[in-house]
Amino acid sequence: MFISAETSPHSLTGFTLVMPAVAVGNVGQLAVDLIVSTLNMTRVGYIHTDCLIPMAGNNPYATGSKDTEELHTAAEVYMAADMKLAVLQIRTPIIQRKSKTFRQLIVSWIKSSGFSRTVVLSSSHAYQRDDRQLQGTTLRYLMTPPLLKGCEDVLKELGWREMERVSAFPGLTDGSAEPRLYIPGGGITKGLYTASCAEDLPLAVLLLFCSEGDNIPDAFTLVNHLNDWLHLLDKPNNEPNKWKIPTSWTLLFGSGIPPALF
Amino acid sequence: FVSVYVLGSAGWDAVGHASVWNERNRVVAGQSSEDSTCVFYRNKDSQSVLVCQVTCYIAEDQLFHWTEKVFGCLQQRGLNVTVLSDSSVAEYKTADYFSSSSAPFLRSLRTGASIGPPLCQTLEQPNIMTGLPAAVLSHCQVHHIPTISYHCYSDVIGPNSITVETYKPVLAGLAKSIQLASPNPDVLRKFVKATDIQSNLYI
Repeated sequence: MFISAETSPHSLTGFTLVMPAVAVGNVGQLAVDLIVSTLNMTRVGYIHTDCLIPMAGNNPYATGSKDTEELHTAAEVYMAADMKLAVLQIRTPIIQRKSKTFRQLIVSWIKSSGFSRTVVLSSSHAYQRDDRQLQGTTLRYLMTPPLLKGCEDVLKELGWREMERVSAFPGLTDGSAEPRLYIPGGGITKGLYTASCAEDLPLAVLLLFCSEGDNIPDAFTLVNHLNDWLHLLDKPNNEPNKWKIPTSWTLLFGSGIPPALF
Repeated sequence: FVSVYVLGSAGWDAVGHASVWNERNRVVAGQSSEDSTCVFYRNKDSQSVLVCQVTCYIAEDQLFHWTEKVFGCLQQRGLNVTVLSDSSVAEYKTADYFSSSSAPFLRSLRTGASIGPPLCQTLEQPNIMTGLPAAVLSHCQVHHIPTISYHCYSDVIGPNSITVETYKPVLAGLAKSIQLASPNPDVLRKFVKATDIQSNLYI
């Protein structure tokens, strides 16, 4: 559940929440790292739950020697009050068999906090695309009806493609099978979306088709698309689309090479 | 380290235990089920000092509840926690290649409520802690309990006297609460022997 880190907790009512889904390539989580790091967001609370594998480490967004020694945990909430933006970062996988519980926890937290809208950054296996999805942009969106109502013009302007429904049994010509939403590798994305539709919550999903590997370019792509919509970086003192890479991204593929190897 | 240097002296009473069951603790005939518990010892002279000796494996999905249960039984006011853990130096990420002469070494992590000078270097990015130390640190961070975790990176697989000694400076800082006993060689020999049996591949 959400535990505030502040002595006098800020209200997050009316804020926009951006959160990642733990999905293929961790693209959503990397994108969220870029947002928190660039906008210098402050931590306002923790999601303390038994649904995530525990993890602890020093400040991943440290800028100097003063703020290095600050303990950070598996799931935390950050805030930029001037932009009315709240961000949830999830750093560890969801424990097996706890996906549904975690999804329900998040949905009830979204409801009780009173966010004006929620954006889930996610990804899906590129190799599972069907023929239509192989062409064009790798970005897809989904929006629940309450959010769709106000965003139709914006979506037209951005030219985004809605995530296609696919047939349950590809290849079978049985016309009675209705096409359904399928997000392979997306973790709890589909669950969050369907639960939010059922609960009438304004929620959007932004996902990229990608594969495991060096997903830093995918993270930049996703966060730039998000910026096209939410205009997070349109402040005059920021260069356009200049995202700050956090210090925790060093050595993503292991330590330095021992010279004795050569 | 705890068995050799701390519990070696006679001043500790076993006051309780916490048991977990997971697929890794098979009760073999002749082996008592106490092998799957974590035992709590209280100092006879200083009743406010507790040592928890964790000898069993706690699965990922049990970590949170173990921590909640254990801390639920402790008085939170004035509580100070120190966690000792270790892993292989291969898990330590650094830009400059670490020659093996620097291992074993200590790194620390502390919660926001923890004050006082650090006794060793803090854990640098991008290294993180997982498992039981992380579960304890997360719990204490969220509940504002001063906690420090000392993690030893070792280049040797089994326990040995040099690696075990790495923690000595840490407890020197706690000397008021815990008297460091002179190392009991029999206890260490028992640990070393237990791991030797599996390593006859490299004789």
